[in-house]
Amino acid sequence: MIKTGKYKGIFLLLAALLIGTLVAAICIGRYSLTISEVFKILFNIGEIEKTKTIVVWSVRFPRTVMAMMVGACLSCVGVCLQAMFANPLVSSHILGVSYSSGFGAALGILLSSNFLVIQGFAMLFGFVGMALTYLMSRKNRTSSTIMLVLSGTIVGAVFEALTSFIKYIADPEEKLPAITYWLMGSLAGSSMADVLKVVPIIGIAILVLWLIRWRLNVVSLREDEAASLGVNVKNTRIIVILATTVIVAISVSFCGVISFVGLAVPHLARMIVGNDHKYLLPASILMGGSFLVIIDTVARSLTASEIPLSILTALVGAPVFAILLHKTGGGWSD
Amino acid sequence: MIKAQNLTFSYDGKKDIFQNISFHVQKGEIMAVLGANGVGKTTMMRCIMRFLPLKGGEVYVNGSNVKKLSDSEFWERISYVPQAKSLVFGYSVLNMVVMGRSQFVKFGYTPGKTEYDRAYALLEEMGLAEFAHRSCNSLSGGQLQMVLIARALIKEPDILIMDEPESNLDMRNQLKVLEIMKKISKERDVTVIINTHYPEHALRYSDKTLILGKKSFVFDESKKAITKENIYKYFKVEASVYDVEINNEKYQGILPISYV
Repeated sequence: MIKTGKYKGIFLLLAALLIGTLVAAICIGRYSLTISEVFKILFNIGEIEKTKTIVVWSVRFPRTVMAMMVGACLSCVGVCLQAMFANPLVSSHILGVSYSSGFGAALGILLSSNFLVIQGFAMLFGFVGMALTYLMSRKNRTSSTIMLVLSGTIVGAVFEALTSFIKYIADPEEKLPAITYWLMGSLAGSSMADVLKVVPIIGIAILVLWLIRWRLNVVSLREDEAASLGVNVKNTRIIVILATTVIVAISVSFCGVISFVGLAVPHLARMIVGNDHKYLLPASILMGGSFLVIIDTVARSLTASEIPLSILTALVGAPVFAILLHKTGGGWSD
Repeated sequence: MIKAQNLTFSYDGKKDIFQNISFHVQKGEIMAVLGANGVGKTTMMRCIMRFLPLKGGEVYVNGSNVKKLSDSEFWERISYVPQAKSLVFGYSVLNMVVMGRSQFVKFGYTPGKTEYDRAYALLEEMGLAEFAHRSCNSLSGGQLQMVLIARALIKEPDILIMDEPESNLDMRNQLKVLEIMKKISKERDVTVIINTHYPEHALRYSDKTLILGKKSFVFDESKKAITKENIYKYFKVEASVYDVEINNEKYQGILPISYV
């Protein structure tokens, strides 16, 4: 185990990494800026070309901050769900929530072009998906890991099929590209207004999860065992389900479906700070922020046209998942 | 002190798993629960701990009916020691023991230094301090079982409920766990209920024994409950219960001979 003093060092490093990637991401792009220019614009010192100011404030800053928040949130969700289901291979994808949220967004795009409708639908179906998975896996008052993963797969498959159906009937000129692009995840449209909309809701959800971070240790034990330690397992589960579903649904509704972040980042964080959720949760938040900022910067600067995020997160995330599977031998205990 | 009156339980409301079981265990006493596989030992334990709802009967802890206690009042008095199984996430031994203080850690807080110090002191007392910073998953079954006992003790309960604590252990570790159980009950005045598959452990370590059967049960002092006749009746095993004297100490042994 790492001594407390070392944790401070690790967290300082992770925070520095996050700030470093943020600044670097704002500098990098087809219209490149120097670090000093970025600092001058951000802190409003001295005279800077108008175009550069616009590039930073209207395009890169909101987008980078959004990437940081979504990355941090999805990693946080991954950690919490993995603890709650006592399974290091769980993510919002495996439990079907991402698919049901994605279906909600697709349905919203089909029916209306109003952003609030799209977000509302993404949120609503996010909850429906999570509830279905949870209820289906309940047997004799407990949800075994294998039942959860199976019911999540079922729920995910159903919503994936429904999404395909929506794509099938969508107008191929206008709606279909919008839906397809959305489902692959992108931060391209992020504006300052979006960031300000997302911050309060996601902020509260993250705060709630941060408050119960130590309790996640207890909840990850067997249900009776956790209850016998005097923790209200049911309430804690409800808190985790509500907060994580809010986060996933919001991030899907703003940036589409971004896969593998919630699975890969918590595992990377485990390698650095260990399993104690008191440290694992904040470490995952910091690392998830850096991770998605880096991925997004690559996505928008690698080629002339942007690469959808999920393509890159999966290309990086899948090998990590493979290593994880290989390491545990697929024999995660029930 | 724990007293149970006429406990009855059924999963479906029709067929009772057990019926009208009564027992009482005083402060500092150990009660062993014996019975063949599938007679509902674990189910009864889970009912006592309120994980399953009783169909009928009452449980009293230190004189108060547990139905009237809130979860936190209930778990302040009772600790549960589950069977040692490896964890999904390998927490350190110290973290594992601190979890025993969960109900005293307020919502939104993490345990303070005093809690970690308290846990470390208990580990020292139990001779486990050298493992404090090791992952629970790197321990042997016996060591992990001792850690789980430490976690149960750290909230200073009146009653300890142990679910087959010696089941997956070798002979030496079985003795270690049973000795520490005896020590705890005597030194700390803790009432212990232990679910076990070993009648000879019950004879040697418990004051009282409850033997569960499909339609009946026996509850008595261990020496009176664990007899050749009852072993035959409840386990369908012909056995000999014999006395031996070693270094002027009297012991009783059980020799299983054949099954019916």
